[in-house]
This record gives sequence, structure tokens and C-alpha cells, in this order.
Amino acid sequence: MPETAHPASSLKLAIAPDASLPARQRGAWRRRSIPFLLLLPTLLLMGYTFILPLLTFFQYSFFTYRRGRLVEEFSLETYRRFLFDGYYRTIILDTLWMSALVTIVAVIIGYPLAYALWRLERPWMKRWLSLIIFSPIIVSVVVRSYGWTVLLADQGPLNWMLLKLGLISAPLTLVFNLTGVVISLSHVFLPFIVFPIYASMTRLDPALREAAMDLGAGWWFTFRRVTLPLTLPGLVAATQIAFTLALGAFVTPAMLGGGRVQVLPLQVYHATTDINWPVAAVGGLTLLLMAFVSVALFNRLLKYSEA
Amino acid sequence: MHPDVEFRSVTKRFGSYLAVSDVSFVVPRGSFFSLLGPSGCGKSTTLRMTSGFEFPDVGEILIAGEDMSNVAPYRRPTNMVFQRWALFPHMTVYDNVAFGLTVDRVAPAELKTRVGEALELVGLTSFAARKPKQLSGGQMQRVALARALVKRPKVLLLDEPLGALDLKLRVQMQLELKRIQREVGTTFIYVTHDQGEALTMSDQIAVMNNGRIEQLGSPQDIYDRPMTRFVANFIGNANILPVEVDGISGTQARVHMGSLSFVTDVSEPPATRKALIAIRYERIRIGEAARGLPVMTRGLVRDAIFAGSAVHYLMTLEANQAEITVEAAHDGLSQPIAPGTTVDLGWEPSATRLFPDA
Repeated sequence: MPETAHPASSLKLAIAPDASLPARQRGAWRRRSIPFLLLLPTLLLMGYTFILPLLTFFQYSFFTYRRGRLVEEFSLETYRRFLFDGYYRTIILDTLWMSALVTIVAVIIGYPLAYALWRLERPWMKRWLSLIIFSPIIVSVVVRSYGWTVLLADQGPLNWMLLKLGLISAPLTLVFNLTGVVISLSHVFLPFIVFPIYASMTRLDPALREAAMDLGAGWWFTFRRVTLPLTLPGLVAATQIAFTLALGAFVTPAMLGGGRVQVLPLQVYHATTDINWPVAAVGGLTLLLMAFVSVALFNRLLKYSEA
Repeated sequence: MHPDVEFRSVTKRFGSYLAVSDVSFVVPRGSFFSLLGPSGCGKSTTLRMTSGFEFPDVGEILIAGEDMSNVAPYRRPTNMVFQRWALFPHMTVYDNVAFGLTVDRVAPAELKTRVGEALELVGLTSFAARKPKQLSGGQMQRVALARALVKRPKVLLLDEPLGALDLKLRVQMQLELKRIQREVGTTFIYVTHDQGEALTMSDQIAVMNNGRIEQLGSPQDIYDRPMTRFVANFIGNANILPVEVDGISGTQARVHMGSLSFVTDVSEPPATRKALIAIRYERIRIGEAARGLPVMTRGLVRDAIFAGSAVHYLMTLEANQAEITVEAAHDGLSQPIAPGTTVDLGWEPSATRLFPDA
């Protein structure tokens, strides 16, 4: 058959640069390389903004800071202080304590909220409730924090109401201490708690709850033996997110802590303003380590409880 | 003695959709009762009202003589085998079966015996420690059955439990379900769209369509004497042919189609001259076997379809050029009749059923 009979196919052959390769092999190479090409922007960004600073911090963590100056000599002095100095130990424990409190409060509010969102039947109610749960993220952190200082102040509306109702005799100190920080942080982490749990609930086969009920189980038994264990993966994901976010929280403890909540991110911030790089570096690495360990521990929990 | 389940003029709507319409029936104690019908016919809603997941808008449901109007699912003496079994994925087979007894705070020793007995009944004793995802479909089905039966319900409700199994296993499970039902003597209410399942296992079948019971009777009643056109069409394979009615006397009628005049049984007396008859594929005799039968005619074989145990002939009737299908048993030796041949056809008057044309 003459070549001119297939103008289209000969044209294609002329354009393809690696026409010598079998078509199948070329296809396979393309299939394998596409995921990496898609990953490239992320990898570049992560390398420049995460890996590189991490390595720099790691290096700085072995220097010392003496009389307002950085001494670039290898030393484990800063690590020793973080491990054995009571001052730093208190800060680390306070950070963990605050994060745990925030996580617990957020879960206690968030799990029933997710359950309510799941059980609501009308779609418009679901939409509005989702929006309300989502709202703390939409508002700027500074505005939100000022809002809480007003709401929780000694002469604020909350104390006024409690006094009027006769539930307290003197105003409660709700702000510029740990209480205020915990309230505000649990509020803003609510969507991070509610939506993973809600997602795990929607994945639940509705027939399972019916089966439990059919076997004689009331609401509480069904919840304890079926709903809760099967939504635990969502709950664990939620606590991981809330706890790690709380570990790194900076603006809220700074604004609502009134200087009484000395968490590690604040220390790191003060260290950087003092150009005390070694303390900032070890503080940052400690935060990272705490986040890793907590995530690993929560995963462990999941393994014990899951199907 | 009360019947185990009784529906009295039960109606259920979902919004404007009429799911179950004025349904009444009685399920005798210890019987295997099937609700059979196409999807959306109301059979599942009927079952869910029995279990208490839905409540009727009108009418009463009685279980063992007691009105269930205000009784929640977890207080009813019924247990259910769900469509996709709904096993608890985070529990072992043992814990799944023990669930209902744990709820009832059955003493540990008794619980152990009863779970053991239930697992033995379904042949899963050695699988007690497994999780549902380590089981095959047939095994999960058995766990669901054991989980429901261990509670010793008055009535066991089964919602298309074999639907997700493959054909071979389905047939095997049908026989096993029937065996278990005989062994435990519990009343079974079985929902299915599969006529084969209903015919094989049931003592009584209620054929449902559009929220109503079209016919309630024994499998043989329903198969041999369908009382509505829907039942004739839905169960088994039937030719539906137009006829003109010449006269009705009691349960029989004289009709004709084209030049062929014959006597037929009446299911529903038609009001008009134009009506329909239904005749099952396998009730029409062909060739030698047709000779000497009360109704005889001739037909042209247009196509012969070999189906293993039987041959299906697509034919044109000489009398009125109507197209019909005839099923002849295949004996494994003879050749099917060649297309283009004209052969004798015949049937008994009781093979045809008369229905109104509407």
C-alpha cells in the first residue's frame, strides 16, 4: 500500500520526537512521571520553607548565646537547659497542659455537635449549622480575641448575666489567664473537631444502628457499643488536629493569656526578638517533637480500638 | 392461640407516595411467610413496619395478639436479618451474635451456651473469633441469621438476605434457611423479589404490587392459579394473549381468538367482550404430546432457543397469528424442532386464566 494513503498517521510519526521507542514504553514513562511533576511545586515549597529552615534551626540549636551574642561553637548547653532547667520544664508542661485542656473542651463540645449535625434531617438546617461551626475560622484571629476579651471581662456580659442570675457572688476571672485562652482556642478549633467526626459518622452504615436497635439496644447502648467505636477514627483525627494546632498556638495565648500563659511558642517568639537563636531553635524543635509524639500516640490508640 | 403476626388494613405514606395501601394478612405461628414483589411494591415497608422501624399511618399491626402501635423496635419480639446483613464490623463473629444477649443482660454462662448453640446451628463454630471482613458473603449471612435467632424471637424478619450472594450459594442457602426454620420452629417473614426463593421456601406467599397484596396463597396456588394479570405475569413465564369472550358461566368461560374457540378458567371476570388470557410457557404441549388435548391448534415454529433443561420455541399461532413462546422439556436425546415447521399445539382448559383487558 502506498505511503500517501495514510497522511494522518505519517504526520503523527513525524511530530513525535521519540518515535523510535515503542508506544507502550513511552506511555508507561509518562504515566510514571506525571505524579512527580504534579508533586514538584509542593516539593519545592516544602524544601524551601520547611526542610531548609529545619536544617538551619538544627544547626543553630547547637550554638550558645552569651551576653547578647551568638557563639558559633558546638555545645549541648541549650538542650541541657531545656531538659533540666525548671523554668523550661514548666513551660513545656504548661504547653502540654493547655493543649490537652483545649482538646478535651473542644471534643466535649464538638462530638455532640457533630452528632447533632449528622442527625439533623433538614438540609437547610445542616447548612446553617455548618456555617456557624465554620464561622470562627472566617473571623480574623485578632478580632476574635478582642471579642472574647470583651465577652469574658469582669464587667462583661457573661459575668453580668451570671451575677444577675445569682449563680455567682463576685465576677469570675475569665480572661487574661488560662481559662480565657482555653475558651477561645476551643472555639476556633471547633470546625477541625466537628468535621472529621461528622465525616466518620456519615460513613457509618445506617443499618448498623437499626440492627443494634432491632437486637434490643436503646440509644445509649447503641451509642457506646456501635456508634462511638466506629466513629473513633474520626475522633482520633480530630484530637490530633486540635492538639497539634493548640501546641503551636501563639496569637491567642499572647492576647488572652495576659502574660500568665507562658507557652512554648511565646518563648520561641521572645527568643527570636532577643535574637537568642539557640533557644528559639531548641524551642521550635521541641514543639515539633511534641507534635510528632502526640500524633504517634493517638495513632497507637486507634490501632487498639479499631476493627 | 393468636397468629404470630396480623396486619389489619395497614396504610403507610411517605409524603405523597403511597407505599403500603390497605394491607391485611395473617401469618400463622411457625410458618414461612413470603412477601414477594418487584422493587417499590411496598414489601420492605411492610417488613419495616413489623420490626418497628416505620409506623403505619392507618391500621393496626398485632404481634402475638398484642397491638404494636406504641412499641419501639427494641421492645418487639421480632428480630431482623438485614439486606446487607449489617454486621458490626468492629466485633468478632462471637460478639456480633452475643450482642442481643448482652443487651438483655443474660447471665454469662447462659450467654455462652446460647451463642455456642446459635453458631452451631449455622455451622460457624470455628469462625467465632473472626471479624466480619474475614468472612465470605455466605458466612456473613449465617452470622446475621445466628445473631437474630439467638434472641429467640417470636418472628424472624428477613429482608432479601440472599440478594447479595451468587446463584449457586443462593440456592444452597435457600435449602439451609428452610432447614433452620423447621429446626427452630420460628415464624419467618421473608421479603424477596426473587420468585424462585419464595416458591421454594414458603408456606404462604403474599404477592405485592403498588402497595397492595395482589394474591395471598400457597406457592402452588399462586403459580397454578394466578388471580390477577400481574401475578400471572410476575411469577413464572406466561403468554398473555387477547381473546373475545363469548360467555361466562361460574369459573369457566368460552372465548375465541381468531378461528380458535375454547373453554378457559376465569381468574377475574371481565366486564367487556375483549379480554386477556394467560398461559404458562410450559403448559402448552407441542407435537405428539398435543394430540387428544381438549384445546388443539397449530403453530409455526419461527425460532428454537436451547436453554439446557428445556427448549423455548418462538411460534406464531395459526388461528390469529399471535406470537407465543412454548417451553418443552429437553430429554437430552432428541433434536429440537427445526424453525419453519408447522406443528400441533394443545393445552388443558385449566392451563389458561381469563383476566380483564386493563
